[in-house]
Amino acid sequence: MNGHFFFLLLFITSCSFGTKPLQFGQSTKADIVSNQGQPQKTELIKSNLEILVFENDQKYQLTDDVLTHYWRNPEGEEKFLSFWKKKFENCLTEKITIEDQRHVAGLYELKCQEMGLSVIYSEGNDFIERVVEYEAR
Amino acid sequence: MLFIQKEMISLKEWLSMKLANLFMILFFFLSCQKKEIRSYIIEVSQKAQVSPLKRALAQADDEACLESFYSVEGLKKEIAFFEERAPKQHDFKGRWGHLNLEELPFYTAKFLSKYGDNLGDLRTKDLSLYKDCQTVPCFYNKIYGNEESLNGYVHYLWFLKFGYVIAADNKIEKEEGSFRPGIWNGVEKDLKDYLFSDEEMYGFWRTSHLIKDSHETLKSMNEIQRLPRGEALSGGVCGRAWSSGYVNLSDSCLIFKESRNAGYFYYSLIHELSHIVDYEEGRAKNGRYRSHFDDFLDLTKFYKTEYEENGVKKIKWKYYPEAIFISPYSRFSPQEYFAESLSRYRVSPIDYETLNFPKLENLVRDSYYKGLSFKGENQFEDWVKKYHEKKTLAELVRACFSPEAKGESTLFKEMDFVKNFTETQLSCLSDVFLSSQKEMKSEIKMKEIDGCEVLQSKSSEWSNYTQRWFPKFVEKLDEPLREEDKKEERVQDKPPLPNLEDDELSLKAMLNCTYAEEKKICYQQELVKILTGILDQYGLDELEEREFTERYIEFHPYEEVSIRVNQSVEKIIQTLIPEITDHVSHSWESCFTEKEKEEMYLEGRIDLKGGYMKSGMMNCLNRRIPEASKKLINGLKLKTKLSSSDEAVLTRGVSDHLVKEMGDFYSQEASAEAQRAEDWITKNKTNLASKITPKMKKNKTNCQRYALSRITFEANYHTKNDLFYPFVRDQLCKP
Repeated sequence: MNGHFFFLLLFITSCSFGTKPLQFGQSTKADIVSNQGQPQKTELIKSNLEILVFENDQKYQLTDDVLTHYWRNPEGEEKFLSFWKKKFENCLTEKITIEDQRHVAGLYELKCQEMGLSVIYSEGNDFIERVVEYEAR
Repeated sequence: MLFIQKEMISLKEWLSMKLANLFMILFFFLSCQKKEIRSYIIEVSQKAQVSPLKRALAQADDEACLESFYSVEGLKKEIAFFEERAPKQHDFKGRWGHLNLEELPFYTAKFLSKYGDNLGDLRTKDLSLYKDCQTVPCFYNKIYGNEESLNGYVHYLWFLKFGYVIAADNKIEKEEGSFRPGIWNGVEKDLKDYLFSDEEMYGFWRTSHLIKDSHETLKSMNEIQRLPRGEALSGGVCGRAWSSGYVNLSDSCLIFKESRNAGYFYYSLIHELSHIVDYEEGRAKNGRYRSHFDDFLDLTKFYKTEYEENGVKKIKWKYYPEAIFISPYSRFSPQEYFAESLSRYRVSPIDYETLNFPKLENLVRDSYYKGLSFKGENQFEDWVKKYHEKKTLAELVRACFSPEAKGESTLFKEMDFVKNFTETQLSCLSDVFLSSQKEMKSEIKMKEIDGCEVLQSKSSEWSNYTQRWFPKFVEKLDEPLREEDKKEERVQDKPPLPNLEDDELSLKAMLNCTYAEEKKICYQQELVKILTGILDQYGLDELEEREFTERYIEFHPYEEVSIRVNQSVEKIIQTLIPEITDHVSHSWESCFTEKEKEEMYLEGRIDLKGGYMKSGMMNCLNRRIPEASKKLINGLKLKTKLSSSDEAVLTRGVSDHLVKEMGDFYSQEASAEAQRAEDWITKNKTNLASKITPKMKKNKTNCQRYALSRITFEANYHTKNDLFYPFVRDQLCKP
């Protein structure tokens, strides 16, 4: 299941139950709670930056009470870098170092801003650790 | 011949008869197995040899410490132990300086083919330096400029034991300061500054005896490197471990204390190697690090915060207030915690005493140190278990129960035992105890790297422990002994025990574990299962059965049997290499036409090392692997009889080779394609640039997208982005 599919599903489910669909740049903490229920945990990174943590390590990032990012684990074929290379084939991607290789395996981000998708993967085994969704630009 | 008349022998005779009949039993046992197809792999494997080091140790002076074997002679014996196990034939080809690899012994050829280009001064790569050398220690000692040095032997021994090397060259891989050989941070350095000192090389030798289990089998390691003397790594660390297989150590990691047997050296080396353990275990289970798995995070109370700020993703490790830390450095991250836990467990076990964190201790001991303990009475318990020579000691103790036992006890008193023994029996037990304690002590000193140090510093603790242990041991033996008559009756109806040195059972157990995830645990369980099945026929009591099984497992440790099976499999597979290569090239050809098929990526085994392949082709190749393995094994079956476990092991081996060959094939094709892309850029650069107007360059993203769309190069093993994005960004669309 890819991220956009997830949000589409959320959108459909939300409509059929009368809850507001979640949208980057618009949804608030109240919308997320109304959609997903109470989070397992909230982390206040800064006064205006908050993370809501749900089951399976799903995280909603809010800046000034507006949803900006959704973090989740990869599923099925999403676990392989090749899958994302294929998916981003027509996208101008950037490879960004997140964590230097001070110890053993570095951590990288492959970012496709046009699709509002990033994947975080580790050096050596090209294993996708996290999928991050945000507003496409 | 296999049956013994009761009235003719005493128990002692019965026991010696058991030993005397070992070969006959082996024959008997093997004869029973002949109805089955005999394992081909076992046949190839059965060339067991007794370690020369073990032989030397057995003959050594009682008071000698293992450290006294740190000499050319001792190191040569250790080296011989590994070299004796080398395949007699190999297919390393080519020349290295004056040497023809084909004519060299297996390990020398293997060493040169992998590390021959990484020796000494890499600026000159002058192989004439080694012109009168035929052996690996000699190559290294030429670099040190001292042909009598022990260092060359330690370098080679490390390679033999662990499969990778302690570097002796002037290029530090991976570190920013060392782009060119002999230059560190822009300053020219002497080769000598990159070489480990004699004391440090001793430290490596000692570490080779300290590390156990997980640290001994690191597959991704290439080299342990030394930063030039006086230089440091950035980031305030003394050492670094890299997933590409390098551990880099600087001066501040390589410090010894008052003696060469203690100091930060051991801690930091094992710490860095533990990062590789963490990485390899994580990778094997499709993760980044083992320490990031939920069970470890639950134990250590780490959690991850992730967020994006100003376009930058930030991932940080935090911990809950209830977290307990093994050291201040372990607070940094789960992976530092992991490395600290493993290194301190071996080098500074006292930290665990003060920490009082049994869950962590159990995890480290059982998963990474073969269940061994290195502190206090637990270490004594392990040693006694390993060295008390159960059979012999049991015989001697049992002899004390005979009415002929004589003497007056000065050591044991009646109250030391639950059972009542006579004064003469106690005296006999005292003698047996004192001699066995002495024997154990000298064996521990000779075979355990920290044996001398621990027994010297904890001499009275050791005596107290063994004095408490011995009565318990005697009590255990006492019970069955009183049923001696019954036992002798049973002896009449059973053949003697299988030979401890017979390795067929161990090989069989290993073969049965081909597809097990936890191979070591599986091996031990299989062995117990097989032995129980056999021992059941002998009507032994529980203690005897357990003793025999433990002894057999000690005789055939997982690591040794695993190496032997792998070498045998490798030997058989070597004969299939031309066919494997053939299969890969045919598969490639036929799957190439599938490349246009858009498919979901299947979970495949071919490692593209961060590269890319079209999904249709990738899936097609992955699907070919099991088919090809089956074909090749069927071909082998026509030539040789294979048992089902042979077939399983060989299929796995062939399949691994196919995966590796396909990975290599991919790398070659991908680099050829990258070269073609370079050529394409050179050829079309001007033409493309002419299509990009200064106005277009103002909108960077649109410009890049347009430029990429104008590139007509058809790539199969890269995405267009991989091949052309830097060119588009830096040359075509740069404002």
